[in-house]
Parts: sequence; structure tokens; C-alpha cells
Amino acid sequence: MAEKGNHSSNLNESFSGALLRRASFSGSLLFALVCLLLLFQATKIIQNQPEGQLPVTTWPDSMLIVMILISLGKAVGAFVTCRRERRCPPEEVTPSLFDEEMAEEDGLGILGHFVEKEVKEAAATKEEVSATGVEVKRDYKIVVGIALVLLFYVLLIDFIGFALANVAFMASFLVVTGERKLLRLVLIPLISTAAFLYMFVKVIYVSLPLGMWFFDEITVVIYKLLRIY
Amino acid sequence: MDYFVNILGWLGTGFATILNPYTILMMCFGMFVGLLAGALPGVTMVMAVVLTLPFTYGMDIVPAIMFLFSIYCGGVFGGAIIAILFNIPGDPMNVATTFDGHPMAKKGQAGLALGIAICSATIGGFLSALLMTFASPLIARFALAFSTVEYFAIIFLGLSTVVLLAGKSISNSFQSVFIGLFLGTVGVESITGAARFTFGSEVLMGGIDWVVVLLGLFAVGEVFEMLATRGGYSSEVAALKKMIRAELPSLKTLWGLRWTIVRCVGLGSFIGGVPGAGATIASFVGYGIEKQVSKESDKFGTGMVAGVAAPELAANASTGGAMIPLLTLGIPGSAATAIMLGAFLLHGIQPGPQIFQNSPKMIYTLFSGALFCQLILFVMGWFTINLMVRAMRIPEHIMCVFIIVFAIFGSYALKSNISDVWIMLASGYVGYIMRVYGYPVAPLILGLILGPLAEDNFMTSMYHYHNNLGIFFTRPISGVLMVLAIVLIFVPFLRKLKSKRRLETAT
Repeated sequence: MAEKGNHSSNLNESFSGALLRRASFSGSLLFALVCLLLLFQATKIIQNQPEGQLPVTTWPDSMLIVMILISLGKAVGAFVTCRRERRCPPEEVTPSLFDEEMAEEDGLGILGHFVEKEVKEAAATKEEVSATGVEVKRDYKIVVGIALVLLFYVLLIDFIGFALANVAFMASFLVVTGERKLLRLVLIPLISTAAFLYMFVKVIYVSLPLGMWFFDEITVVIYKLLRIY
Repeated sequence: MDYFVNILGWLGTGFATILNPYTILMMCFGMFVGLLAGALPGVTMVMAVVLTLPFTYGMDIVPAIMFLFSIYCGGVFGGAIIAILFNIPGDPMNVATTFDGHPMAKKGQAGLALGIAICSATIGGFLSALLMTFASPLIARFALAFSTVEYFAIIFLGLSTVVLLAGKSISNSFQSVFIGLFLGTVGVESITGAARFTFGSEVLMGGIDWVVVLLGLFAVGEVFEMLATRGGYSSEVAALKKMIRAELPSLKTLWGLRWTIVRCVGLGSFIGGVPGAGATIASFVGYGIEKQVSKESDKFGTGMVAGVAAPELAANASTGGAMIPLLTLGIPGSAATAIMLGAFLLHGIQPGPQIFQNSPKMIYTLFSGALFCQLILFVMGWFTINLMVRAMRIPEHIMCVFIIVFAIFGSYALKSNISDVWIMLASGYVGYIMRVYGYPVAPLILGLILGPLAEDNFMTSMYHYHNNLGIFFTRPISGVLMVLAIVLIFVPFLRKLKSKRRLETAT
């Protein structure tokens, strides 16, 4: 996944080369399809604008059409570059106009272009190049783990209330991200949830969900213990 | 002359209001949060501003805005401490500070480098706040004559610079801005009351709240990135046992930097005012220009005093510049100023040229606050250096869990509605996927915020001028702005064509 880009100086790219283009091709087509469906949906919107006023869908429709055009352009660009790559070695490929890696080379934008040389020189004089020049390696397992924990957390809030859900969430988040010290796993969620509850309910007056069934009673007991109620 | 005396008079009143213990306490607290967020790698200034927004719901407008502005200023400077001492930029805007700051620290001049950074940040921030104070009323007076046509042209120009400056791939930036513009149309349309893209859901009727989206993109998305890419640098930080003390640079050193100050503050303030560009671009451009004009250009990167001062001056000068379009036109050019717009709107105040007439007292109180904020930056920057270094030892995952909980509570607190938490979460996931595939998130946010404004102005103009698109080009001011915007959109394509040709001739 982290193969190096072959004909660009984009150092910040982790997905590059053929893989990126394949993802870009299918992703763009999928995106165009979603936009097309939304455009169809727009035809069903009930319109009651006054005489002489453009339809209320004018603006969103124009946005959707531009998005579809860009997506198709990107898909074609990715496709053409892929074809060229198959025919000749990657070093000799000139990417098509719409392709990703032909864009800004340093990530500093147009303004940065005026000082590109100076910045690169300065970065090179130091032993390690930071920020613009570190290849990113990502650990996707942890991302999926946290994403799932978060999903369950928000699902649970309505049922068991913010107080309990938050303690459970913080503890499981810490476990997923590699915390193994029992003391931290217990104390951090308990103390900080208490502090959060106090701050939001007592100080900023936000009424947080209490929970259903018997959980609301538990939450109320917790609030009483914390002297919020 | 009357103009200056008038402003000075208002400033005096402003200072009298701002110098009350509560506001000063809030500013100090904000500055501390900002410095901390700037110093901790992965925790960005924008993240800090958006996470603390819910706490301003209960405050008055002046302390609320000053609190957020202090976080903004502190966040822009905070990373410099770590950048100089450990060569780790706390925020992307401090990368340029590492170029000469760290070599200075290695030569044993860490204290001096820190002192110069703090002084430059304060001077940059102060001068740009002064510029903001004196330029804003003029711009606002000019902007009073603008009609919906000019407003649309300004927003259009703003969005095109955002696209141009945001990321590495222009087509991705375009996609991003259009997704934002489209999401801005979800909900009940303001003129006719037609429900657009709500799919029968009551939650979507009110539209997608961009504060919630910001929380998702900048808190949840960033946490994913932080944990997915976390690396170990704590050993270097842990090894630093001794206390660091900043050294005040001599007056002679500062006098030697006078032209650097003029150049970088001017440049930084200007870049700050350009939508899409901010402290990061300002710091790089400031550094680069300084290297270009310096007589000792080849010594840059080895620990030059001007190399530390230039990026800090420019980055902190961008803060005042960025406030100008927000206050005078009501158009934010960056995520941080967008959140401040959110705070204004939550208090029922719409920034724009009218506030200079309707509530001059409030606006000049804010200006005095912005000037006073720089003093707080100096004092707190000076005395919290060691605290910031210690804060680096907080394990990343523990920091992350707090960020997420803040984001969840914050999005819930907005309307006491769990569906906002879902939207926040969804934007976090989407934001992370966008980041992985190289789609910049800033255009999306600005599209979402400016979209409804753009649509309103566009539709009203069309109605008044009988659906004649030419009106945007025939009125002088809007014509110039529109042409400029269109030229800007085509610049990257021309550059691409050029580099494509270069590549082709090379092979």
C-alpha cells in the first residue's frame, strides 16, 4: 500500500502509483453515480418559487453537475494513465492532465511556489526533513478499532445514558489504543467522566440523555453522588 | 487625521471595557489552551478553537470572541517552542521555524532562539492587530455600498482562492469545495421554504450545522490520523531534564531585524486576509522571502536569527489579517475565523460592514482585546515553556480520548440533540477517508459555510436583474473580482500544462 510514487516528487503520498489510480477510477465513477442519483432526487422537490425567480434547485443542481463532470474527468484521467503505464515502463509515463500527481508538488500551494526553492534548501540542510517530506505509514487496524468503539458508544448513549456510556467508551478506547495499566484504565474514565458531567450539566446547563429502562435511575443516582442534582 | 483620533478615542473606551478581571482571565485561559494545542503535535489550533466553542455558549460576546481569538493567537505560536527545542513542528505552521530554530538550539542558543520567537510572535501579532484596527473601518465603509452582486463576487473569489491554495491536487480541492457547497443546500430553503435533500428526515430539515461538521473533521478525523501514524519521539523529550529559559534578544538584534519585521508583517497580514491561506503559508512565504532578500542567504538553515524571526512574524501577523474579511464583510477565510463567525452568530450578531455603525463599542472592544492579547501572548509564552515541554510527555492515546469526548459533548451541547453527534461522527469518518485519499478538508468546510451565503446572494441578484448572468461582469467591482476569480481557477491548469510539456520534452 505504501509503495513509492514513481514519477512525482509528492513525498506525502502513501497511496500512489497504479493502486491510487485504480482507486481513483472506481471511486470517481461511484461518486458520479451518487451525484446522478441526487440530481434525480432533486427533480422530486416541490417548487413554489415566486414568478421570475429561478427554481430552488438551480443552485444544488449546478453543484451536482459540476461534481459529476469533475468525477468523470478524474476517472478518464486515471484510466488513460493506467493504459499508458501498461504500455511502457513507469518512469516514461507522462500522466494525463487530470491525474493526481501532476498537481502542486510541494503542498504549499501557488503562493508557496515563489519560495519553493528556499524552503527546499532549508529543509535539506537539516538532517531530517519534516512535515513536507515524511512518508506516511498508517496503521489501519487501530482506525477500524476506534471507529467501531465510537459507533457503539453513540448507539449506547440513548439507552444507557451519557454517564455510563462515557465511562465504558473511555475505558474501551484506551484498551483498543494499547493502554494496559489497570490503574489508568479505571481512574481516567471515572474521574474525567465525573468532571465532564459536572462541567456540562452543572456549569453549562446541557441536559444530557439519562438513558432508558432502569438506567435513567442509575444516572440520577450518579448525578446525586456528584452533587449535580 | 480625524479618522485616527476617532479610532484612538474608541480604542480608549475599548480598553476600559476589556480590562476587567473576567475577560482577562478568559483570555489567559484561552492563551494557555492555544499554546498547549500548538505545542502538542497532532493537536492543532483549529481543533482547540472548535472544541472549546461550546464553552463560549454561556459567555457574553466580548469574552467569548476574545477567548477564541486568544486560542487562535496562542495556537499559532505554541508550536514554535517544540519546533526549536526538538525539531518537531507542533503544527504545520511551525515547520519553517524548525529550519533555523533547531540549528540555533543545537549551537547552544536555545534560549535566544526562543526569546526571538516569542518577541517576533508578539511584534507580528501586535502590528497586524494595529493594522486590523485602522484598516477595518475603511474597508467596512467601502463595503457598505456593496450589493448582493458584489457579495456573490467576493464569495466566488474567496472560494476560488481556497481551491487554489488548499492542497496538492486541484481536482480534489474542487471536489471538496463542491461537496461542501452541495451539503450547504441540504435543509429548508430560506426564500421559498422548499425542503431540499432531506429525504423525509426531520434532522436534515434544519440543514447541516457546520460547527458539527468541523468538530468531526478536525477532532475525530485528526484523532484517527494521530493514532494511525503515531511514532515515538518521547525519548528525546524525556531526555531533556534541565529547565529551559528564554533569553530576551538585545535591542541591537531587534533593530537589525527592523526590515524583516516590516516585510514579514505586511506579507503575513496580507496572506492572512486571503481566504484559504493562513499562518502555514504565511510562515513559509515569510521565511522564503527573507532568505531571498538576505545578504547571507546561504547561511539560512544553519541557525540564523532572521530565519527564526521571519516565519514567526509572518505567521502571527496572519491572525490580524484573517480577522479583517470576517469583521468587515462577514466572510471567514479559514476554519479558525469560521468558528469565530459561529460564535458571533450564536450571540445573534452578524459581522459585516453594518456592525461598525451599529455596535462600534463592541467592535473596538474586540480590537483593543486583540492588541492586549499580544501582551498576554508574550507573558504566557515566556513563562510556560517548561510546562509545554512537560506536556509533551502525555501519552498520545490519552490525549486522543479526551479530544473525542470533548467533540461528542460539544456536538451534543449545540442543540441538545443526539443526531448532531451522529452527523459529527459521520463527518469524522468521511474526513479521515478524505485525508487518506488526499482530499483537503478546508475547502469542504468553507464551501459549507459560504455556500448558503453564496446561494442567497446569487438568487437575489438573479431575481433583481431578471436572471441575467451578465450582471456579475458588467458592474465594475464585481466584474473585476469575477474575472480575477476565473483567472485564478485556470492558473493551476496552465501550470499543469506547462509542467506536462516539460516532462514530455524531458522524456
